Amino acid sequence: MRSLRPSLARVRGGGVAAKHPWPPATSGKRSLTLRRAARDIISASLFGPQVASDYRSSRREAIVAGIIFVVACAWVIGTCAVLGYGQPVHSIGGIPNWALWGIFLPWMACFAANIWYSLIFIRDEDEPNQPPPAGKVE
Amino acid sequence: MYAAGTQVWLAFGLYLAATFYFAYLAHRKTPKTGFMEDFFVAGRSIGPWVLGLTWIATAASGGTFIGSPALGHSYGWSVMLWICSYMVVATTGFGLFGKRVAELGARTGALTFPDLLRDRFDSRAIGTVSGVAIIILYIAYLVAQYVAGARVIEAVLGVPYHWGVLGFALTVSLYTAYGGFRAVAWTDAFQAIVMLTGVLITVFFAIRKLGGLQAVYEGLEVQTPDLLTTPGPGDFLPIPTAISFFCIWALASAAQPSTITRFLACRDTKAIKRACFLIGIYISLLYPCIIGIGIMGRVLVPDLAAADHATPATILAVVPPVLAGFVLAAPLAAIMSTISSFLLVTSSAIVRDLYERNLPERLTEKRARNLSYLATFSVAGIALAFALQPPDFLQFIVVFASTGLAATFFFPTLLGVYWPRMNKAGCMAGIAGGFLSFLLQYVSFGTRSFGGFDPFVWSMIVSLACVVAASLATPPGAEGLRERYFPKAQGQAARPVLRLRAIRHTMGSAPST
Repeated sequence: MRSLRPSLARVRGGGVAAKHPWPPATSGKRSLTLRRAARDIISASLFGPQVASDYRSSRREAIVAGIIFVVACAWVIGTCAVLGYGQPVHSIGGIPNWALWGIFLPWMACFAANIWYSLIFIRDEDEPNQPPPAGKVE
Repeated sequence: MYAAGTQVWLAFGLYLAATFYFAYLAHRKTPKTGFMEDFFVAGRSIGPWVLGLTWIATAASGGTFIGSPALGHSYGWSVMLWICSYMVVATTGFGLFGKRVAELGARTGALTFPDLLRDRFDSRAIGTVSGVAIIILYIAYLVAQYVAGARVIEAVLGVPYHWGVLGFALTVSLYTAYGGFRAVAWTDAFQAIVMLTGVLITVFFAIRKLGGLQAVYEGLEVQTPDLLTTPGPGDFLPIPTAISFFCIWALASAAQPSTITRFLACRDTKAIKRACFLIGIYISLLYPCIIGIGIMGRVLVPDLAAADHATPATILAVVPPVLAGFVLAAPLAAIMSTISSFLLVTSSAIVRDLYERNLPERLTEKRARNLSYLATFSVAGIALAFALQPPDFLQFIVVFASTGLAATFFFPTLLGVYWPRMNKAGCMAGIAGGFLSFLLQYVSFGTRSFGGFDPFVWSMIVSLACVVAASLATPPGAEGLRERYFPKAQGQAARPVLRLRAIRHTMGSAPST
């Protein structure tokens, strides 16, 4: 079990066990650790771990961007197809009902998703334009 | 011409003076050495604000400010569905290419988009082919921008079309050649602020004048109820076309060589993250309002000499004269920022990709400088010559140029930067497949191909199939090349079993000490 400690610390993103003592001090920290762990499981399952961290994080971020695109497309086209295209239209605050549920609502959702994606999900690279130093991997 | 006074002329003059001032400041920061890197990617020093604003100013063109409101004026609310994939443009543009392209650009020294592909696959042919494609399609795009700009000037100031085109070509090529990428980025940032401010002011005054969105709704209903629903008058937007345009705006913006060049110029990951955040806000404000201007313009000024006059006519109808000149600079800013970016990308394709990279030795500083200036003015001159015979439908030229480029380069670039197994044959097959299938469909069917989808959709599928099939059918690229672009992880932590065990413990009970 002791041999797992360094890996565990790296899973949390720290790379140094002393920075992340076990167990986490609060439930909030545990929740954060769980989120990171879940993200890493998905990443490792999809891509395998045999690549450097900067490439791997970029790839994971690209996949999630693609998922956001597909979900938004399905929402917009599906809703507009059901509520527009020959259906009777009515106004909600001066906006046609199909446009409100099929365009403006998903637009707000995508706006929120972009905030999460850009400020939280995209990983900071210390030296993004340089090859990763030896040993610095996920 | 709808109305224009001294104030409008004065505001235009001030706007142009400010633009040249930014170009001057940028020129002063140009270092004495490293001309090519500074002229084409500003020494990779662009921070988040300028990166975000130059990215969106490049993406928002004359088509955005003139063509899209014109469609809104003609087809009503259905155009909101037509444009709405801009809701994901920031995420897809920055998420698919931003960080990865920035990393590779700095690691390999790529200055241009063809540089990136050429070095990735170690192929002179790929660099040359992509350079030629950029030159041809971007000149078409530039023509559309000149036409849009001259029409705005004609509608607002009464300047004859030919003089307007000439003025645009001269003004933009002067400051682009003078300051290079840094001047383009800085003026883009200034112009992006002008664009958003102008649009928000127009929408505010239009809603106030009409008495709210409900009044707009009722005004459209009186004219024709088709303006309120999909597919719009004249079957403007059937479902396959709506799906096509959802893909076009989000993916074509992401894969434009001009927007990818922005990532090559950025400073670090933080700049990418913050720019992505900033652009998300900017786009969410800008695009619904732009279409809103066209829709409200239909109620305010239903009879126009040409649909392309919807933006200036609406501005002049609602905005007080003291502000109108400034607001009218918004569409000009959109056009100028796109022209400058495309001029630079096209001239870099000539100087860097077609000329320098095919020489046995590097260009001298002086020669690189002279050639860059010459290429910039030559491209502007060629586009000017075409723009003097203006095409009828501006927006469709923009769509042709932008979707043609995206169909050609999206998957070769995307898989090139993420898929180690992809090789030179796959890249060439993807470029050729995408471009030829797009061209054939466009010539044969126009904008509605098989199943009613835009040629872009099928061309993307053909391009993807070509990349995958050709890559798998031929040997992988050199090991050294793959190691350079896709370095392997080192150290024990990379082993999956250990990581998964650790994660299991994290999610379950605490390990004993």
